[in-house]
Amino acid sequence: MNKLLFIYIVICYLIASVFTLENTITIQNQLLGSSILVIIFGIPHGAIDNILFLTESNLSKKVFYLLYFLSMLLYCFLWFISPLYSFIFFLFMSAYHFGESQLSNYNIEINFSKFIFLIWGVALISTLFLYNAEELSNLFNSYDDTSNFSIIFKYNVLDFLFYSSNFVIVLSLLYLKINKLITNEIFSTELFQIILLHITFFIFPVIISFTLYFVFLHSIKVLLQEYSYLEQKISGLNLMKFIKLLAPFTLLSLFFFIIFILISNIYNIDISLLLFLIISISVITLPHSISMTSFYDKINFK
Amino acid sequence: MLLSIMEPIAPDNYVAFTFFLGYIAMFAASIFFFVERGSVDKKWKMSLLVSALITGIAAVHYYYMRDYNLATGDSPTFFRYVDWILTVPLMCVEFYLLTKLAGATKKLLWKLIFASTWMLVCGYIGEAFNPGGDAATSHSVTWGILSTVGYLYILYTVWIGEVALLAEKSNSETIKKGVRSLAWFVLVGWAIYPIGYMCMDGGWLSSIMDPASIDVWYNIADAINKIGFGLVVYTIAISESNKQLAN
Repeated sequence: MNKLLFIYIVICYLIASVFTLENTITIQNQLLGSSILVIIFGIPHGAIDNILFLTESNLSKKVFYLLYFLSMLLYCFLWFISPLYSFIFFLFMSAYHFGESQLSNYNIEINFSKFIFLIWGVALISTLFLYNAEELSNLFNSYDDTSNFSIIFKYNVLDFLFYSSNFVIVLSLLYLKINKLITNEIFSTELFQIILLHITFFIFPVIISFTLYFVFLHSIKVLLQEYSYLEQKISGLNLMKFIKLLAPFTLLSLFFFIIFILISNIYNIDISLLLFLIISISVITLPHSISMTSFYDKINFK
Repeated sequence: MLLSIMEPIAPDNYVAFTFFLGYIAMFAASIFFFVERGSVDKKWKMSLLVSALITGIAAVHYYYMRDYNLATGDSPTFFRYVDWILTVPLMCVEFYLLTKLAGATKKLLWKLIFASTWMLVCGYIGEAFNPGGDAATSHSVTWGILSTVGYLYILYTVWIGEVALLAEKSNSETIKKGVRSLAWFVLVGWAIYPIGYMCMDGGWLSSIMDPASIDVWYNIADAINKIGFGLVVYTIAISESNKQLAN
């Protein structure tokens, strides 16, 4: 168990205590807490994609930014053509990204490592969705433009993904352990973490569950990896300098978000806040996950 | 004669059955650790004695708890906490004894003993002095949080803090692996206790699990944790003693 997992356990205990005392935590408070944590840790973890990608790369800054924003525009266009397929693509893309960030640092040298990354993420997302199916289905159905997303809860697709991905990921971990591609320690920690995520997703509401994972087991972990990589590349890097590196794009993202909220209030734009949030996160996630794949290739190559 | 004075255990009384099983298993483990003291190097004898004491003390309490449960049908909270308050600090002593050669100080020993005692005293107040009614939940949560602070301190110390660092410093793979195994017991095995605490009246999980059935889980977890803890210590002691002999 590392420090982040320890912090995760402590936070789970605290939230469980608050739930016991108050019986519930209101949606408003859940959203408030979640937003604060996502702004502090979630957005910044993807705010230095440019620096990470361009370090030790032959690509020029201009081309990088052009490709970065072009991919975002293309994805926006895809959302315009087919929201449902865009949403499903978003889920699988996020699944791969989460799996990659979870398992990349073990530098697993097998041909199907990328498949394992995807399956790990599918297990994570399907577990989150299955345990909170009713809550999510109600949420999607509460807006006209997101109601067709609840199709994922029909035809037992989610059940199939949940059972098969969890089964395959445990099997894959066993395979890696038996073939000595990961140590016993890594095997136990990964298995423990899967069980912990199941417990968390089962007992807490979806917003809290996802925020806990996204902030403590993903974003902060990635921020630490980024810091440790840049420490070798930028002489005299300290926390303040690192925060200064993270600040520009974090603030820019927040700025655009606030601008949109203001515009949508003034001009009554025909899109729900939920769909806007999903689209915003997804179009940021696409270039971010591509940049991170390149980043993990670099650190594993070292 | 003995059978005639014993309360019979109904076939579906799993609580009493696991108390009985726990008693037998811990008694047997106690004898094993005590006898095996003779097979290990001098510096490991104390560790095995402590292991024997942990399971021995638990065996005596399980004997009483089984009788209490059969006679009253109630959960023997008092006896359970008396058992824990004696055995859990002793389990913390094991961490000190294992890392002593790498430089563990008495200060570490006392910190772990204090944290474990704090954890149990707060847990006992939370469980045994619950006023019931409207105040039940706030009482349970307040003492639960205070108790958890002790648990988290131990968890931190053995996984990330002083004990983990000392094990790393020990230059012995056996001790490193052994301390890590014991740390897993604290993380996974001991997690049953806060879960059990949350299952009692007024607790968050009381609607999920019947408070009466938690005794079965406590009994199974106790047996695994205490005997398992001792077996890990035994494995380290034997392995290190053999190394000593080979040199």
